Amino acid sequence: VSAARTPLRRALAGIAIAGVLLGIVTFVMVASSEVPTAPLLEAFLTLLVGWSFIGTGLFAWDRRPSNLIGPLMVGVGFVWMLAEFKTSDIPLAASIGFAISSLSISFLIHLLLIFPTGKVRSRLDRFYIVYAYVAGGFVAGFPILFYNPATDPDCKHCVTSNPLLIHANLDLVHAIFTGLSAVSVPILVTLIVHLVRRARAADAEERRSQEPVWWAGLATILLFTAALLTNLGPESGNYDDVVWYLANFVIATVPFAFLLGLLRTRLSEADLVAEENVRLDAELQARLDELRESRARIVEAGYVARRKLERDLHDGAQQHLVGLALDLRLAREKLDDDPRAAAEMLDEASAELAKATEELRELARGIHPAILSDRGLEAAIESLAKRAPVPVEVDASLDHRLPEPVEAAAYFVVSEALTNVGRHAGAGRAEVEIRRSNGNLVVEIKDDGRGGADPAGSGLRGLADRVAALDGRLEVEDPAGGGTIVRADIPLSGNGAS
Amino acid sequence: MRVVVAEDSVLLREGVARLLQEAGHEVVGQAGDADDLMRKVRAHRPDLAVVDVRMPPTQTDEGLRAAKEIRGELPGVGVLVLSAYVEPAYAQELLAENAEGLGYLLKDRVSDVSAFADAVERVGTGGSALDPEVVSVLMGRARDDDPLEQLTPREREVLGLMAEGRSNAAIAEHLVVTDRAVEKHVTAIFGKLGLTASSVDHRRVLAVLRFLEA
Repeated sequence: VSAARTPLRRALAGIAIAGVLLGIVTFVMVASSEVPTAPLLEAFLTLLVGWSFIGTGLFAWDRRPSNLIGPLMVGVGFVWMLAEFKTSDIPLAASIGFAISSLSISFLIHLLLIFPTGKVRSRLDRFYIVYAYVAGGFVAGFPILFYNPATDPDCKHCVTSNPLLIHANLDLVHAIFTGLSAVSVPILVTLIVHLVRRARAADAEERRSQEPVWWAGLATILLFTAALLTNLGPESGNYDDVVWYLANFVIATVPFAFLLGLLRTRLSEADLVAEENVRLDAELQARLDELRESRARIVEAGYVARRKLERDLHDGAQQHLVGLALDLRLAREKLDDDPRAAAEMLDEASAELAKATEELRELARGIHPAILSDRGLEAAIESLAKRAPVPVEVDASLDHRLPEPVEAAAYFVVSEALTNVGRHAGAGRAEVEIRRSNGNLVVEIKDDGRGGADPAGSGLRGLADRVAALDGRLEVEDPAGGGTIVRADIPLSGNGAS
Repeated sequence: MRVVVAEDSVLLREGVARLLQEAGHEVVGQAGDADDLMRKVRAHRPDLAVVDVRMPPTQTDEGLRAAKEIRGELPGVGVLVLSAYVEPAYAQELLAENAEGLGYLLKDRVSDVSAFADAVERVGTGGSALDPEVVSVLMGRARDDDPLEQLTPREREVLGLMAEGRSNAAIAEHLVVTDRAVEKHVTAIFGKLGLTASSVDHRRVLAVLRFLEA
């Protein structure tokens, strides 16, 4: 089961595509807006931070699927880019961006507090997290309902309208921001103290994994504080723009710090179990998908085989029998006037009949050779070897009969492989080895041909399904020395053997 | 010749019986399964039993097993096994140690009246019969350094006919040549293949079969 096909991987790929698309939209929107002082720079920085978080977040998510760190990092990336919509000159986009502009800070605080286990450690932590979301998400988003850019003297290049506006009140907006900042700064200071204390209490092991995050966390908090302070203080030139740009570069490195720290963390017992569960779930799901597909193919192969059988009977034996009936009727008519001609026709009829019986015999053999059920796998393989187009050496060491489905699957693997040897391989000889190994039946067919058998070709694909239905595996190899090796490994237990 | 026929398909059994009667043989008993066959063979002590490979109760290889039992118990009774399979393994199993009074023919062969009659005659008189198709699988098998390549086409033909259990006289008749010519071919074949010649036909069959099997 290849990890690449698990449902988790598929979901992550979908998220990655969404992230790339959002990044492109954001970049175009910001770069083409007249609101920012340096649109291209801002657009670039936004993309840098957004994609850093999404990329590293997806990686972390894949590596530690049961840990919330990865999804949160991805969330930061998305919110970060969406928030940059606030610099757009499209009113609705700007309003939405404005409303969620602080949410990425909330995600970051959440990340810092649950790092590296992904779990909330104390009630105090829980308070900080709830506060971060209430303040950053809800309270910061609230003023947009009362903000009318047209009446804001600070807003020189802003959009002219706010579709989310319900009641213009610039004072209320300023009051909320000022109040929020006034409450948040002391809380943030205590958070810093809290995190510093935790860092100092950490043992060497924890230190190792948390180190990258310390300075990342510090940078984040400094950034937030700086942003708040510039909000509190009077406007003075482009000062907060410079802070903002610098902070952007810093923050783009934060997700890498998280990722590094996360990967340095040794997993606890419980985490390992959880990881294993997630992995097993994904594997199980992939296996179920595979089974569903192979079951469908087996059913389909059954139909194909029936259609082929019908055609063979119809075009072969039946045609001969019809011809035979005709010959007999003609012979009957000739019998009195021209007994010689009648005799000739009867000879023809006999020949037709012989062909029909021969075809029926071959058909029956192809469906299920009697020798397989009567004498077992070894005898049946020996018989196949005698009819093979190239010399075949059979090395079989089975001391007794195997379960019927196993024998049949093994027989048809050898039969198909030897047919291929004759048809495509250009081989001079072949070897068939049959042995029991660790409770499995191993069947190996080697030839000295030119190799290049296509495992996805319908014959081998059908065999692989047939073997897979018994929980076995079929492999096709082109070894270095040339030729082809077809190997089937079929478990005996669970397929009728005790 | 007195014959017992064992075959579970009534249609085929009656057909074979009629063929045998037309060829001048006496069908002294007909059986539908292996037990019935053994009973009738023991009761009638025929010259030949014509036996289907696949019969009730298991529909697998009753015929082969009955053949061995009959040959072991009543050496005077030849057994001609009729089979639906071109399967050298069955024939070789049947003729493993001794081909005397034993034959393996495809069921299709009954429609070739003269060939069937020949085989009946041979097996009933202590000779052997092996179906030409089985012989052709054995001879046509791909091998490394195929020893049969040393043989001329005519010699190969003669080898095949020997494997079928035919006598030199029968081979000569079949190929429309003199007995002397056949003898020369046979000597050449045995020389080239390194086989020890035997004048007894069923021993010769065994030797040829063992050679082809190797």
